[in-house]
Parts: sequence; C-alpha cells; structure tokens
Amino acid sequence: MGGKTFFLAGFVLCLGFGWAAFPRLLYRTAPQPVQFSHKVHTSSAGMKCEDCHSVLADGRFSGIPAVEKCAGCHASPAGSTKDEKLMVEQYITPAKPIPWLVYAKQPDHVYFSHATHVTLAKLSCEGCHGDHGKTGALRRFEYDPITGYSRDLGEPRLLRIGGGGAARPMRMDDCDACHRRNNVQTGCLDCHK
Amino acid sequence: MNLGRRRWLGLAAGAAAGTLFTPAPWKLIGDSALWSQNWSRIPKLPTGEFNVKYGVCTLCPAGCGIKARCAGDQVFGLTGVPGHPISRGKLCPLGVGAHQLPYHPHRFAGSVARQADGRYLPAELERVAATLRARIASRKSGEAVAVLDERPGRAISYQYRRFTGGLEDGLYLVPPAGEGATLAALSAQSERGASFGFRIGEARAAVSFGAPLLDGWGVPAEVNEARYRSQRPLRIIQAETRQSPTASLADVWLPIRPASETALALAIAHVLIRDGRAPAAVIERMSDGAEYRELVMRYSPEQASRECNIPAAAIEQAARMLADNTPAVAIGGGDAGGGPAGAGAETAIASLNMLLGAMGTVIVGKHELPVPDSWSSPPLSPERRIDSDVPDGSISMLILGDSPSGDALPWPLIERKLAPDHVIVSLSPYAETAARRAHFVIPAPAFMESFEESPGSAVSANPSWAIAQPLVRAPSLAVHPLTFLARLGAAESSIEDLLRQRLEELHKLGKGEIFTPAGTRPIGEFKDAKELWTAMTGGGVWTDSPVLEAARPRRFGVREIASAPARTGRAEFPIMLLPYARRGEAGTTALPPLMSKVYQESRLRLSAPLLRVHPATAAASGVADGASVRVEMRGEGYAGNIAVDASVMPGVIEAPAGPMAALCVNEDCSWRVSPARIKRIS
Repeated sequence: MGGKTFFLAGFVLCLGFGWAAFPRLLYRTAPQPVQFSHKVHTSSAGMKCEDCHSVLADGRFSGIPAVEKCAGCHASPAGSTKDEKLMVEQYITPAKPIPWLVYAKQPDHVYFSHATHVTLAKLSCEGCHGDHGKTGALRRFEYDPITGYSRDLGEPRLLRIGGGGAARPMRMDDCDACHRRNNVQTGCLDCHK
Repeated sequence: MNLGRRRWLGLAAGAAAGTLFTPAPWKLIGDSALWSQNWSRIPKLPTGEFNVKYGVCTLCPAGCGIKARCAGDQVFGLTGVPGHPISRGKLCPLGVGAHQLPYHPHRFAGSVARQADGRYLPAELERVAATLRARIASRKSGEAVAVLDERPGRAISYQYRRFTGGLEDGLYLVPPAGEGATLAALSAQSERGASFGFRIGEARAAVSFGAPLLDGWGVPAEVNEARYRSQRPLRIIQAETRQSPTASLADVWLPIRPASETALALAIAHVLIRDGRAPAAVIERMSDGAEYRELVMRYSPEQASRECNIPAAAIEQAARMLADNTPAVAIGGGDAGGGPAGAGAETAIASLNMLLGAMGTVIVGKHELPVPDSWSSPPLSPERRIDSDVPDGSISMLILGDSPSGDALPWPLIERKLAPDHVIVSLSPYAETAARRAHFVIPAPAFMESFEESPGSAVSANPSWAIAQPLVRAPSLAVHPLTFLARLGAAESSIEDLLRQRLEELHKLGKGEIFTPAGTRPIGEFKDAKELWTAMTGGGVWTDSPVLEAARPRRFGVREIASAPARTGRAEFPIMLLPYARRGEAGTTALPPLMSKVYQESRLRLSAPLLRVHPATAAASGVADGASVRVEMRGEGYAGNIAVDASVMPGVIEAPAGPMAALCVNEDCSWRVSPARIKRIS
C-alpha cells in the first residue's frame, strides 16, 4: 500500500464525514411547544389553508394564527391527546401566544412580505414551504447553533439526508437569484427597511 | 503495517482534499461570518411583544398619519395609516426612516457649551440658564432677545410668544414664507391681513413658479389626488429653470431664465386681459386696477419672451390653457432649498390668482385653531419674519427653536441679524448647521420622544390638528423646551397639559370630525375632552371643512411688483446660482441615518456638493467634469465639485442645499437666485 492508497483513504473518510456526520454534529434540534397536524385540520376538520394563513384586507399577511383563532374550536380539549390538553391548558385558556419555532423565520433585519409574493407574484405556498401543509406531524426544528438561524433558511435539502424541509433555501442570494430569474428589480431597502 | 511519514502525509492530503468536496469548510466559513455579526458581545436591541401604535409625523407641516410597528417599547418600522384623511395611507421616504432619528450619530447627549476652539463641553442646565438670565437682565435697551420658531402655530409656539412677549425688546421670529409665500402676498394685499389657504382639489389647472407641486409640496396626498383623479385631473404648468421632478411630470414645462417669474406672471396676465379672458369687474374693484392694467400691458408675450428666454407662443399657449381650465391657480414659493422668489415676484404671482378665478374657489380663508384665553397672558409677541421684519445687527440673544421646518434656512441670513456681542442658544437635538454655531445647546427630545402636535399644513385650507404621543423614551439628559423656558423665568408647564388645554378648546368648539384607525366620528359624539384625548393620542386627527368666505384682496400690489430688484448677471459674477432641495431635507433638519447611509454609499463619504453646470458654462469658466471649485458671490462662497450636465441651462449652477449645505444670501435676504462665479481650486 503506497501513499496513493492512504491519500484515497483520507479522501473517502473525510468525504463521508463531511456529508454524513458533519450535519448531524452541526445542527441542534429543539422541540415544538405542542404537536400539530396540518393533515387533520385540512382533512377531518375540513378547513382550508386560507382559514388560518391569509392576506388580510389591509395587506398584512396573517401567518401563524393567534390563539383566539384556535380557541374557536379548541376552547376545551377537542381530543384526548397529551398535546391537545397541553395546548388548551397552557396557551388557549390563559390566551398566551404559542411560542412556535418557525422553520422559515428570517433574521430581524430582513423584511419579507408574503402579501407581495403570494398576491402579486402568485407564488404557491409549496414553492417555498414544500409539503409542510400536508404533514401529519411537525418535523424536528433544527437550527445552527453558530448562527442561531433555522436550518431551513440555508440548507433545507443539501445537508439533510432523508429529512423533509423547505422546498428551497431562503438566503439573500436565493432571493436575489429568484428575482433575477423572474426579472424583478430589487433594491436594498425592499428587504432591509 | 508501517505508517511512515509519507503515508501520513498522503492520508492528511487525502483528508484535506476530501474535505474540500464536502459542505463542511464552506458552511463553517459562512457560519463564522454570520457568527461575527451575531455573537454574544454585540449589543442586542431590547425586544418585547410585537405591537402597533399610531401617531402623526411631525417632521414637516403636512401631518401624515403613522403606524409604528414596535417590539416592546422599540419602534422598528413606520408605515402610513390606511384611510388617513391627510396622508391617505402614504408616507414619504423621510417618514419611513424616521424611527431611526433618535439614534442619529450627530445627536447631542446632553446640554453643552461650545468652546473657543469649537469643541463642546458638557454644561449643566442650571448654570447655562443662570448665565442667560444674567445676560437678559443686563442687556441695554434696543438689544433684542429673540426666539426663532420654524414651526409656528404649535402649543409650544404660543409659549415662545408668551416668553418673548413678557420681555422688553422680545422678538418672536418665524422663517421666510417658503411654501406659503404666495398666500402671504395675498394676505398683504388684503385688509386686516386675512389668512388664506389652497384647496388644490378644486383647481382644474395650476401654474407653478418653481413650487415642487408633485414632489412633496403642501399636503402631498391632496395634490396627488387632484393630479391623478380620473375626472378632470389637475393640469400643471411648471415654470422653472431647473428640470425638477415636478417639471418632468408636468403637462407643460416652461424652462424660464432665473429670476424671470415676474415677467412671466405679468405676460400671462397680459394675455388674459388682452383676450378678454379675465373678469373686468375684478380689475375695476381693485384700488390699483388701472395701474395694474397699465403695467401688465407693457409685458406682452414678446417682451416677456426676451426676459424669460422662452418662445412667446409658449406663454400664449400657457395663458390659454389656464383660461380654458378655470378655476386655475398660480403658486409661487419655490422649492425647499431655493426659498421664495422675493416680495415683488410673489405679489405678481398672487395677483394672477384674481384673474384666474381662484379667489373663493381654490384659495379660500384659513381656520385659526382655537387656543385657551390663558395663553394670551402676558401678551403674545407678534409674529415677525426673520428675513423682512428684523433690522440687521439687532439681536443680542437668539434662541433657535426645537423643531425644523425642513426648508433651507441660510446661516448668513441669521448671522446678519445678530448684534456684534451676541449669544446663541440652540434647542435642536442634533448638531445641524445652526446648532454648530450656537454657544449653548440645550437638546430637546427627538422625534417620537415627547408629546408633539401637528397643527396642519401652512398652505392647505383644509384645517387639521393631531397629537403625536411619545413612542420612545427620551434620554434623561434631553431637556424639553418648556423646562428650558421655565428656567429662564417663563411659567412652568408641561406639553401634555398644554395639549390637553388645546383639545378642550377644540371640544368646546364642537365642529369637525375625528378620524382614528377604528373609524371617523363627529367631534360632538365624544362626551368629554378625556375621551377625545384617548382617541387623539391613539392616532386620531381632527379635520373640518374650510372657511369658504374670506376677505378678498383689495389691490394688485403694483408698488411691490414694480419695486422688485432685477437679478441679472454682472461682469464679475456672470453665472446664476440656483440652490435646490427636497422638502424636509434642508435647513436645520437631521436626516434619518438610513437615508444618510444610502446617500453616502454612492459617494462613500461626506463630500463637497456636486454643482451641476452646462458644458458651455464649464468651458467658459475653464473647469472640467469633477473639478474642485469654489463658487463665489460678493465675498462669500463655498467649495464644491463640478458635474457637467447638458440638461442644465447654460449660465446656471444647480447647487443642492441639503441639511449641511452652505448657502449665500443676497442683499434683500433672498437666496433663490444669486449672481456668482466659479473659481477653480488648484
């Protein structure tokens, strides 16, 4: 076995480490405050996406509904699961916002308008959020402890072996590339207000 | 197996090469960059639950509604308020970035005294007040103590007037007329100095003599609504030397020679009278009607064409367009950087309104907002304009008020009014042009840090009044102007108390309606002033219908028109200097850091102004594009860099007059057009 073999061995080892082990070592997971099934709400409960996620008359986008909205059906536990009980007792009854960990949360210095992208540009929800709206349970929330950002912002697919995640990354370069592809002019102040 | 050095090196090289083909190093590089921006030692803004508060923008007189998005007590974004009767949901770029003003890099941290070498040293308020009190007490007869208030009509303005009214030789000063110059001329032409305002929505056509009608003038939403309505949109003729944004968007642009507004106004009047398109009864009713007709008849379009350097046919066409679209209106006042055209030209422009059917339709009377009787004791100082009503060298102590107008206020204009041994006190929160000259600075709370009010636009006839609640906590060393006045001997009061008193008067009046983001209600529906206060501090604005009946002008003002000084180039100063600025961004204003950042990114650093000249002017002055020059006029001058631009009129320098701009003034205290020359700096 000469130097070439050792070179190849080192090459393959690190290649494997970098693709398989590094993401597992890098990202941390955090539990969502309660479990939630989009599938149950859109199938058994017969709700539409717009019932909770809609562009309001004044142009604002209502992303995550307020607990008052949830209280419409869940003023008392609507089932016998542990999460249902937890949600009613800890959040709905005291009217306390549920501290969801938002997969697509942008940093504070970034302004993103759903209304512009959904109403004006007619982008589909799935185009960015993937099949999130059809899932039976919330997937693990993963974040990068170095930056503090959600994993979905940067590497929803690239470093995720066998996981779900967003349909496309949501970094500034990704916004810029999409705008260029669609011939949409942008300036700094469009997103950094 | 022998793991020799060579094999270890091979393994390490392979590992390094393999790593490069994985995301690991690239991801870590990116993460390190982001970490360096987010690590724990970087100060974090305090955060809290997201909430929305409503208020009013007080950065210019328009009084647009603002919706502040807050995280806890921190405002992080300002937008317009949908359905707001003044701003119709819109906000200008200045307003959008205004939540950054409390964090301006040029903000004073506390009271300071300027040293002989220009440095500022902290100064105790009590000690400064004692110095000033002694100075007021020891001054000689004829040495005036003046307060310059750039935003008259507010509750604090009345306190300035009470303070100066209680002093011998106290003066309450306001800046040059600016946007309201034409209305001021009409007022001077009327009996008892009647007060007027524009109802621009009633006009079918407008001839603007340099007023930035489509670039922030008056109440911008009112003008834009008139301009872009589907039925009979407002037609605009822009008479202006510079190809300003309004000139570019107007129906007709008349690129007149600088300082030829009087000739153009008289020539338009000539065509209207000659063709029988002006009501003869109006001319006969005026005390100087015959003299006006005689003066106007001397200004044929051909004669004016030579003065204005535009074809006579263009003047005829403009006059016909106005006559075909009555009621039409003539508006002067110039832009925020250039200031008014001078009394003669403004009188000629104002008189044109009497021939265009504007009086009583587009130009109507203006409400005086009610104030409590107790505010008139001691007697209020009368309002005096600093450019025209104060003798040179007469002010021994000048207090520069707390709020800027956003229009240019040349320092040489203030300086010439000061006595040789003078003291200047600035109440500005920022180290702007005038505050940098002050001996003492007692910084007032910044925008959004205290109760403020918007008494409505000076030019709009539609009355309005709004209160801005404090959205951000003021720093402990900020001193409210009322506290400062109290230290000088004026009665102690709080701004909240004054606004409550004013609101009570409005409630007693019982007229008008209150808009809030929740809806609009007549003021009579509010059971007491307390309920009204809650509505007003929650983004409410009071509006009422204008006063349609008002005193009419009694004369055309032929004397003023005929005595207007000619402003032509001379052999030693052959070029005309034209300062210009956007509204709200000139004078003693501070711009939000975001705007400063955007401005500076294009040039990377604060630099001398870019002076735009025509290629022929540059060649005649012996300068090239990018040259460092000094613009000189009668011994004064300032430095700049030349930008050669074929769109500039030959023989003209277009000079931006931003917040820190140096400006020169003429002998008659105007600065809209000044004869100048360019000298290259070697």
